[in-house]
This record gives sequence, C-alpha cells and structure tokens, in this order.
Amino acid sequence: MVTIGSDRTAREHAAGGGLLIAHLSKRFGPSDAPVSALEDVSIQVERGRFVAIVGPSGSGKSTLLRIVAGLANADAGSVTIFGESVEDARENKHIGYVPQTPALLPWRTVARNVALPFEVNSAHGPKDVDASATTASRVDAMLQAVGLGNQGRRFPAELSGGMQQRVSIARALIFRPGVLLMDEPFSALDELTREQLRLELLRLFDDQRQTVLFVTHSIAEAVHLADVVVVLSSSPGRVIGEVVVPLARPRAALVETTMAFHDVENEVRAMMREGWKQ
Amino acid sequence: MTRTGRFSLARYLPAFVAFLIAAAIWQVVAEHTQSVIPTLGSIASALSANSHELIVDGLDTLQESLVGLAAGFAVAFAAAVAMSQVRILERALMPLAVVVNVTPLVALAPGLAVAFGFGYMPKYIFTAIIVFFPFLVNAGIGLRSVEPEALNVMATLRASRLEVLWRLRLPSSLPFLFAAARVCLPLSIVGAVVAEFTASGNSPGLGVLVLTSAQQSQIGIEFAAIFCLALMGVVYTAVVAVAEHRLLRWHVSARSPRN
Repeated sequence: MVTIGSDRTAREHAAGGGLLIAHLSKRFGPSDAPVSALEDVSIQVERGRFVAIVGPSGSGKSTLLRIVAGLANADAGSVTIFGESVEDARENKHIGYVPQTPALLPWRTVARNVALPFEVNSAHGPKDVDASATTASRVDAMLQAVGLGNQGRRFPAELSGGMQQRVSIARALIFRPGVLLMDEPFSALDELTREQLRLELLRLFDDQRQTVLFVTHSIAEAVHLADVVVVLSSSPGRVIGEVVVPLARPRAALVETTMAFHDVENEVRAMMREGWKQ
Repeated sequence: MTRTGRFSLARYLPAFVAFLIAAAIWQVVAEHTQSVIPTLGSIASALSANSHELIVDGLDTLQESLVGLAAGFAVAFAAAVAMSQVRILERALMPLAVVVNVTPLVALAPGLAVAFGFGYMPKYIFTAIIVFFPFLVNAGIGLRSVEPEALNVMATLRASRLEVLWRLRLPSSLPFLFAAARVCLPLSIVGAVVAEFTASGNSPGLGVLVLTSAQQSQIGIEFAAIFCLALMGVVYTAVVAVAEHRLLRWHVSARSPRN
C-alpha cells in the first residue's frame, strides 16, 4: 500500500481494484468561517488488505469513513471502490458497514437482523458463487462463522454487547461485500471482550480476505489487526504517514507480547505525537 | 399450589383487596346518601333488570368509539408518515395541530350535532377529533425515533425511502403507538359519550341513557350505564396490554426487571 500523490496512479489503481481515497477534503461550519476536518487525505487500500486508521480525537477519522461509506459528502477529492463510485458501490451492495454501536433492529431476531441486507435493495444479489444457497443457510453459516451458531432465534436485547457487535459484523459480511468499513466497532466494549472480538475478526479476515478499512483510537488494536496503519494528525486530519506491520498471519493473542509488536506500536505512537505537535 | 399460582396470588391480591375496600366504602357511603349514590345491590339489580337496553345502547357507544378511533388513527398516522417524509409538511401542519389540541374540543360537540344531525356521524367525527392529536404526536415522535447508525446501515445498503419507512421507521414507532393507544382507546369512550350528551334527542347510546336516567332520578340505571362504560374501558385497556405484550416482546418496556 502506498499513499498516492498523482492522478495517474489513481487511474491505474482503479483499474486494478481496491479502495482508493484521493485528495479528500472536508470542512464543517459556516462558509465564512469553516473548520477543516480533513485536508488532502489520500489512502490506497489494495484488494484483500487490512488497513487501520488511527488518530487523536478530532482527526476526522470517522468523517473519513463516513465519506467512504457514502454517508457524508467530501468538499473535494474522490473515493473509488473497485473502480466504482461510492454511489455505485452502495447500489451494488459492495460496502459492508459496522458502526460504533451494533445498530441492530431490536424487533428482529438475530438471524433476521443478519438477513436484513437480503431484504433491502433486493435487486442486487449476493456476490458469492454458490447461488443455490438459501438465505437461511447463508445466515446459519455466517452466524457459525462469528461464533453465534445457536443464537439465531434470540432477540438482540437478550445478548451481551460483544455478542451484539458480532451480529453487526455478521450482517455486514453476509453479502460478501468488496470492502468492510468498521468505525471503532469495539470501542464500547470491555477490555476482555475487545480482545476476544479482535481475535475473531482476525480469524474471519484470514478466512475471507475482505478489503478492510478499520478506524480506531487504539494503537494496539490497529497494530494487532492491520497490514498497514495509517496515522492522521489532529484537526485538520492529514495523513502523517503509514506504518507497515511486519507481523505474520495468522496472528495469535500472544503476538501482542512480542518485541516486534511493541516496536511497531512505538513507531505508530511516535508518529501520532509528531502529528499532535503539528 | 404451584409456584406460578403463588406468584399470581402475590401479584393480584393487593389489587383485589383494594377493590374490596373501595366497594365497602362505596356501600357505607351509599347507605347514607341513597338519593345521590346507589348501593351496589341496587346497581346490580338495575343491571339485570335493564340488561337488554344496556347491551343495545352499549353496542351503539362501542360502535361510535371504535369507528371514531379507527378514523382518528388512520388520519393521524397518515399525517405523521407524510410529515416524517416531507419536513416542510411538518413545519406547516404541526403548529396547526397544536392549536387544534389546545382548543377545548368538547366545545365543538354541539356544533357538530347542528351540522350533522342526531345520527352517528357527529359522534364518529367528534371521537375521531378527540383521539387525533395524541396519535399524531406519538406516531410523529415514533417515526423519528430511529437509531441514527441503523439509518446509516440502511443507507450503505442503498435502501429506498419506502424500505427505510417500512423496515425501520414503522417498527420503531410501535412502542409510541401503543403508548398512544393506552390513552386514546379509553379517550374514545369519553368522546362518544360527550357527543351523545350534546346530540341526545331520541338517539341511542350509554351516554344518552346516563343523561336521561339522571334527569329522571333513576340513579340505579344511571350507575349501571356508567358501570358498563367503565367495563368497556377495562376491556380496551386489556386488549391494548395483550397486543402490546405480543407485539413488543423485543421492547424494553415489555421485559420484566432482572437483577
């Protein structure tokens, strides 16, 4: 992954697939006194890579994710998902979105929550090759994959916070979207549950190799999960740099205790401090 | 006795005792003021002696309240859906609805009788008007009470407005609609009775029966009719409670507290 700087690279990348964020800027507030949230942010995520974005509060990392998800508009710059515009990617259901809160529909059972993407915008079908699989069998398989095999008939309120967030991840992945966008999905959970969900996400990623953009304020979480950690500065959010994580996959829980892990963590931390000073 | 049986007894016994005490107080007071308040025995004998009339009039009042309720709910819900979809409609219509609400609606009843005669129509209209505002406000709040992140998930799937309305906004509004129903169903009986008072003449209904029997000092029949109206309210409340229990199993208000 590289942070790109020219339109030529952008076109090449769009042809090859992946997620391309080019020269993105976003301002809030009145036009005579705007507050800049993002300034000329360019990030390239190759297909099948896991990229984490870290930055202090006010670095615009959630705003960045919302723009990529089509939930907010940029003032300048562009986003391309596998060569498609964000609009087309949403239309074709190429985006899986996991918000900070599970955002489950409380009146639906767990299984029906996971099946929701089949029911809306149903003109666009799932992307996997097994067209013969029924919705129920897909949902069952997905629930198994997130460790909730026997919870399909329960209601969200009957589940713990960690289990609810697993359902949210299952809902985002059921359609095998091209990109998975995760906005601090574990931030509301306790430390042990966070660790467990981190390991489960790693296992899912090893299985499915989705292209993932993961926003977090936890450096350890970013280093544990990602292939590349992109560091944003505080307001306005600018890309300070990126750190390639040289840890082999699959990654176990104990990887966090290794020197290599701490080295990467320290490198990211130093970069964040630098951005803070700026 | 089973465990469940003991639980039920513990739950219902206080209410049962409270009813007994209230009945005893009523009886003592009635014994001393029989020209104003009938004894429980005379209400019971009036109920059995006038059962046919009470049932016929009761069905009339029931019909007025149900038709008014259905009409009021339909119009209020349609208006709330329209307002949730078109913001300018909300800004335009909500102040108007508030003005209607703060107007003492009881004052409209005689005018409706003059305009629509002594048939069922003015009763339907009055009942519909009286339940309209609580339904409108609750449906409006309910349709807007959607978790923003759930809207975002729908947006990333490119859900249409209709899909968001049907799969997200309508179910989200259910707890609010039930809260409105708890108020509006008994209120619809009030609406029907008030409309009957103002347009009584020879028209049927328990409200008319209450009015005429009071004028003729037949307080046994008067209170028998009031008893039937109260019974109707109890049935309405029970129906709402059962429907709420079945449809809102997922909602926090339907769950028993845990430790």
